[in-house]
Amino acid sequence: MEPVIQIEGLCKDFRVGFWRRRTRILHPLTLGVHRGEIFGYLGPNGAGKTTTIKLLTGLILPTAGSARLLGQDLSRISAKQQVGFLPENPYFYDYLTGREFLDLCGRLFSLPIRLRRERIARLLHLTQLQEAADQQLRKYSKGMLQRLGLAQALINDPALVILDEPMSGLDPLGRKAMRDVILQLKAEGRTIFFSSHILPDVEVLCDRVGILVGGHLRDVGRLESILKTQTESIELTLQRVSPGLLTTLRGLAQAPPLEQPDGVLVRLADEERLDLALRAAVAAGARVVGVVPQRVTLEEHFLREVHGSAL
Amino acid sequence: MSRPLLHPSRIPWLALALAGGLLFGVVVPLQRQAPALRGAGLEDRVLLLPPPAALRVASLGFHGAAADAVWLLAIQYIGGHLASDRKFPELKRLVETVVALDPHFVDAYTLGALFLNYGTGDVAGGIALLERGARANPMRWEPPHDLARTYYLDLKDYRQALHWFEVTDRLPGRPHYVPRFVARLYAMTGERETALELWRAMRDSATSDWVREIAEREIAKLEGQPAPAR
Amino acid sequence: MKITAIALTTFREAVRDRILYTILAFAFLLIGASVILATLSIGQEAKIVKDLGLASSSLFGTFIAIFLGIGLVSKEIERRTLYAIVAKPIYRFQFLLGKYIGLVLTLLVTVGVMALLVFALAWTVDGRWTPGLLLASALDFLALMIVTAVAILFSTFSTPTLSAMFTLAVFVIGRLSGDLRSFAEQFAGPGLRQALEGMYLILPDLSRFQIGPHIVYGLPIASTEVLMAAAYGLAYILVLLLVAIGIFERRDFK
Repeated sequence: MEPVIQIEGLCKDFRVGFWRRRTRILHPLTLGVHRGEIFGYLGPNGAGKTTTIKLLTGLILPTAGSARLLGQDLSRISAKQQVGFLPENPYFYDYLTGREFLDLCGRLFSLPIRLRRERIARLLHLTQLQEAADQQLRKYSKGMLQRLGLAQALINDPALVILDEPMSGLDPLGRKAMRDVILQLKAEGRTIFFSSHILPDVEVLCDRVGILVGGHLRDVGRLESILKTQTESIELTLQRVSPGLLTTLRGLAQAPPLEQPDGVLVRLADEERLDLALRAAVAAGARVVGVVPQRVTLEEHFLREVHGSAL
Repeated sequence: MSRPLLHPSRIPWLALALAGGLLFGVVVPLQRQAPALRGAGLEDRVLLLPPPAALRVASLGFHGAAADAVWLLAIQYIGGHLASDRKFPELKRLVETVVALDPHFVDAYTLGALFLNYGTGDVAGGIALLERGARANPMRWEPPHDLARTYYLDLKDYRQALHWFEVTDRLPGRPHYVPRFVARLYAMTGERETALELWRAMRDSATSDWVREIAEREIAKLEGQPAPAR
Repeated sequence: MKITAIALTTFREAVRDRILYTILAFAFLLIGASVILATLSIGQEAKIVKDLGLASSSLFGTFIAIFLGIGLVSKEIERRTLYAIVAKPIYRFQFLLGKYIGLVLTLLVTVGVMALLVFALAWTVDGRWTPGLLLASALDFLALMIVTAVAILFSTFSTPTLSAMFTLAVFVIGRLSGDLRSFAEQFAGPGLRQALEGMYLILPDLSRFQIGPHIVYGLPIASTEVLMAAAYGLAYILVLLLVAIGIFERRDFK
């Protein structure tokens, strides 16, 4: 089945600085997002995540390359009919009420009046904004604006939802609520593409991730596959360790073994060394309490990627 | 009491007291003196009035409003000097500025000429101004009418008065007495026959009794005279 | 229609902004003051009220046009209120036209109120109706629509402050257009005269929409003159909007 988002060699140059030098912000990007998945787009600040999203939503024009949304070329208006977009730190018209704003958005999708009313009511309920619906937006708190932003992103019942830093500025309750909404959207069969730098949320939510650093896509794929390749170490906990065994272990381990209440903790670099250590331990009569592979977290992988590109 | 003078609870009262003291001790007395200075202000404004070209530009195309502003200034100037020294050295310049900004401002020509004439004794200046007004507003009766009046009453130049009354007569909205003056002036300049003709026409077309009576009286006067020697 | 939706939104936003009412209050004060000033004159009350009334409503209308106009696009880009809208299935030109129409509607209401006030005051001072005042205001409104279109044009590529300055500059030059031309004819050498003539032809000549003097003096107005001015105005507005659309279409919203 055709990907929901199909990006081919999309790149963007900007003219930056006093001398208006042409700088490449986004290097040719090729990426596909499949139907029904939650795709997390990660990267440090300035990596080009927002630029990518602005290219997809038509806010900026590509220097080269193309993209298709739900099979339609990006430059066509019809490509946007099935897409919902939540900008980062959304800010809407001060003097409109929430309801009026949602009505405007509905009209821009050419929704007939009854459908508009129905959806507005449902979305206000979903985002818990019923009471503030008739207040002017200038009175809304940041969290309320974020929720309204979500509502306007869903007004057209979109098949694809694009969110730019949806967790930014939300408190833990807000983030939980947003996570729940995203999962709900997936359950409804929609595709979600969002950018973030809050890695724990990404770990919890995403089916696949893409890591963007300095305008280049460094990694893309299922979370487990990315992280599995990097089993950092294996922790071995032993009891009844004789001094002789300790010396052997010291030679095999990454770092000096730790004396702990429940035994000696030895960190080993890979499975071969684990094997050697276990044999030594069994031979020395020690008791194996635990063997725990330490998988690198997304954060550690991410930092590695970022620093790696800086080197 | 060991509380310092600038204690937070006292500061509002201190501030208010100081404000009141300044207001009644300094601000009000200074303001009382202002009118004495303000007279000088008007003179300064008149003297420093920019040339018409500059004012035209500064008024951003709102020439009428700018002319009104200068006109109001002129009125204040006239009023001020009427009450004091009865001398109007800047009047001509003020009025000329007004009409330069708004050539259709007829009152400026007529009233300006009036003041130039009776205020500064500059009859020639008044006449020049009115002629300018007549040229700029060929369809208005007021300038030629005032010219006729000036020649008639002040300069006693009946030929010119007659000329200007005739001009006035042809213009829409002119006062009802103008034709009578034309006729009278014809008589006074020796054109008896023409005068009679005019009076007769007026009598015949008169719509009110008192106009007809005046016409008949003048006709009788002229007919009673012996024909002048040619 | 989508243009209508944007136009109505723009109208609502503008009309609910308190600053509009502050400016309007000052305008009313000034127009009202013209009556007081008029009493200082010796018989020219009607002229003064009409002159000052028309001038005030024209100036304030322009201030409102510039103030709201620059907000249209520049502010929207700066505050990013634009993002959620442009990402939806709406052509950028529909957005721009909607904004323009919304602003024109707002001006229609505010300037209309000012014009009615001048009309009423002129009646109290003059003792009779001067319907010509309404025609003068209507023609002046067309000039205002041009200034608004200029504001939108600058807005598509410039910051709010610069847009305001440029629009104000065009407004001043536009009003002085006629005077500049006669100045050129009288004083300038051939090179400068050509340059000024060129400027006169390209920049909007707002003095063509000034029939105030005609109304105040009851002078006859050639209907061909009015119609030609109206045609010129509408054509000029279209030119400005088309250029604005062209620029806006290729603009990156960073």
